[in-house]
Amino acid sequence: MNDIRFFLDVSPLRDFAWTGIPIVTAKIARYLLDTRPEATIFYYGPDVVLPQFVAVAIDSAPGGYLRALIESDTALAGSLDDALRGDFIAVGLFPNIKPVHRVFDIELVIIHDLSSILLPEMHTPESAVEHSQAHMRDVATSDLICCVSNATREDVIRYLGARPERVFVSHLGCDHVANDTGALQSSDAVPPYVVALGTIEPRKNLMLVGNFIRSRPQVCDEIAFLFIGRRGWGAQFEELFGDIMRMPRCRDRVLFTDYVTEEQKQRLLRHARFAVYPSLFEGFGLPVVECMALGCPIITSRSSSLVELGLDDTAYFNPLSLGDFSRTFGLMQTRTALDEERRKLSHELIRRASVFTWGAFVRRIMDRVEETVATLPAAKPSTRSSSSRRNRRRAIA
Amino acid sequence: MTLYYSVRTRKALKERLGRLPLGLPHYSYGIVCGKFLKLFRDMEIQTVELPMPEIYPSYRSVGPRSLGTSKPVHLMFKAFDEFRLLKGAYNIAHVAWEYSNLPSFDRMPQFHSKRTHPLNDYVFALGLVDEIWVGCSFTRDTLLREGLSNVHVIAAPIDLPQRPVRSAGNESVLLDDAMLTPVQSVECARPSIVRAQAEDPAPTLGEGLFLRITDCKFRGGRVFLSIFNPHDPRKNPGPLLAGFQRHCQRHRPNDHLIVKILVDGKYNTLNDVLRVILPRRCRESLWSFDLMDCENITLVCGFMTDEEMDKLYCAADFYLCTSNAEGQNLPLLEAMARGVVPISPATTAMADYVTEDNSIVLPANEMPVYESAASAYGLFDARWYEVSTKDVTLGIERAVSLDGRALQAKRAAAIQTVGKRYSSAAITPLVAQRLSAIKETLGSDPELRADQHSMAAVQ
Repeated sequence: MNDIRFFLDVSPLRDFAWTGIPIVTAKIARYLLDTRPEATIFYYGPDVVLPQFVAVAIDSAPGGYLRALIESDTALAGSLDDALRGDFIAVGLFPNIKPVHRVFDIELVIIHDLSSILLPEMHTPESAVEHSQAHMRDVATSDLICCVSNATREDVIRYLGARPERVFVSHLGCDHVANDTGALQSSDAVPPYVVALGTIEPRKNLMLVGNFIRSRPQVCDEIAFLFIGRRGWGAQFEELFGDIMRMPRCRDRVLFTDYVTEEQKQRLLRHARFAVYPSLFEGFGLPVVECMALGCPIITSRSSSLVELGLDDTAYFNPLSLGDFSRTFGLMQTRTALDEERRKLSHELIRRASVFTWGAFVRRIMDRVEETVATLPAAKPSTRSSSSRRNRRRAIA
Repeated sequence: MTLYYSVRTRKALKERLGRLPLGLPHYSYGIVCGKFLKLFRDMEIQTVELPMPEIYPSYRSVGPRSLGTSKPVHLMFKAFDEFRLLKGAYNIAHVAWEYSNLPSFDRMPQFHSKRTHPLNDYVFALGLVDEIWVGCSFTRDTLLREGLSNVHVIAAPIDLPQRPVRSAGNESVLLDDAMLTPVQSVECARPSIVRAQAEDPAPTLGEGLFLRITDCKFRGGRVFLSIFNPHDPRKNPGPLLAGFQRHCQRHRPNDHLIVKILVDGKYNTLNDVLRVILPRRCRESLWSFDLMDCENITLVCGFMTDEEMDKLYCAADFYLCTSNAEGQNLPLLEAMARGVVPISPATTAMADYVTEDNSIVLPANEMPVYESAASAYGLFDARWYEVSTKDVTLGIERAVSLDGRALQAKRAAAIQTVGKRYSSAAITPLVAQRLSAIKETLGSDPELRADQHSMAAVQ
């Protein structure tokens, strides 16, 4: 049996606000700490990061904690170069864009979506080019490519010419927190509101919700709109919705929270009548699964990976069609008007979301890595020098 | 059969899903698309536009229309790097390509700036689609040489005028109400006027355009027309302008050249064209030509309606084309459809339809594509065909020396060529044949390529 060491790039954890990719990184790190602590090495750039600090960060101090400790050298424990010395199969796990290439015996990259290639207009030009180039390079230099949805897998094979046998799917998971939907929904003190989810950026297509309100301002008499999401790039909330917020009927009924913590988000979603997620294109659609897991009914785009998340067909709309959105919104409004109906729907969504777990997500990755390692000839013990390591053999032809 | 199509470019999508303004890169795909849509309407084929086919996980997600049992066809009118497939559908790309080979990462240096997007490798991009439609045999042959298959020549249809085209010979001057109607939406200027107004070089409005044509004809001159996008490095305006100017200076001072410049007057104005863009294009092709020094050339820019364009074509005697390479050359064909005689090289797309029977053929030399044009695509070792100023002058002289009968014969042949090969009546059977073959294949072969793309997920 080959001795395996897992090298996880924890650079995504430098972000101050943990959404999406930092969360995925944290979940992989937690899994490795739980199941293979001795065989796990975390690294950040050229440095190895002490696992105890990673553990504290992912369990109780997300955000700037780890970054501060790394930047002050407190959390560092030698170089990646040194950690690579030894007789083992080095498996590099890259939760996002690869900062290094062909350093490990086996390299596995997670590709979340190809929006920078397929929808470059939804990114800043610099970011689109940078990510497009990175995806091309990553696919060319990786032994295994994990896509977070079938839609992304198909795009990676088609548009990047990846060999299908190297590309596999592992759907992301979500945290399944204890639910007491009955108690939460009976709150008469909370006015009915709909949550619109998503960072304020063009790809999230929040303009569709704006156009809906513009076309039917009377909807604000029945229900308020709460936009939850951090500021991104492009036209921001005030520009997108300024005119609506000046409409007498909609004033104080269309609100924007900016970034909220996970806890705050969960509370807001639990109290919402339902949520809307009109994104044009997603790699997976984590916010949708999070809503489902919290029992919050949601309507979302019939696009990209979102159809893989298991909502009823009536919960999907064409994100380019205001008419379709209005129809779907109206249906969900009717469906959730009665507490009893909404509660039933909540329970059903929680059940459906239960298939998406972080454990299953990482297990599929680890299984695939181990399958690949098993196909290799047993490692011949030898002490690799720094120079020979640069020429580590490619594990897979 | 439901036929989906997509045409909006990434830039247009960014600008709120609008259409690209006249003259900006790839705008001609929109023109070609419009011509096919008209044809499909006439053929009673239902079409649905998909602004962003890439967002749908399957054609079934597009909407209720796609709930039928048969797989739809998705026809793209887009530049190669903007190809976006509709998953599960039969994807066809209608493309224009004018050079002798395609950009490919196999031939590009490792750090070339075009290696930033996978579809900048045009051979790879074309390999993604199930079928390719092109506007001419030259493009088809180029693609086949690159190893691509299922390439069909299905050119954009050209409208034939409803009313009879005027006769040749001693025609009367066309001074009628139509010629006096101002063309409000365009700017037009003679370069010398711009020079005279150097302090305030605002071009005049288009109301003078047809009066100039009428004036030219009153004085016994011939009207020449040329239409091109000055941003496009292929158009080779240096020999066109210099050759015409030389002709006027030597032989016929009353002849007049109308150059319809495809810029919208907003993103680029006529002043930009005169002072920056055309001089740059002339320099690139190693011509130094002073645009300020010619009374016989009128430059027009801005959007003209179909009626105005029709009037402009019908007022012209000859269409002057010096382009180094073309994928179909719609303005030239539209002019021919109205009996305007081309003075053009018979290379690339024009090789399909420009002959001595219907045109004055200009000799052209095969040359390497110059660097600024080739680098825009990451193109290596490509060739195109250049005409010289001297040959343009000689071609024009040959044209004006044609007697009435010879001119009439060429006009009739030009109209006949377009009618036979490019009219709706000519293109309809080609389209019908392809769609029928596709339908048959989709119906009979469950392992069709469209299906092969639908790869099962490996969990």
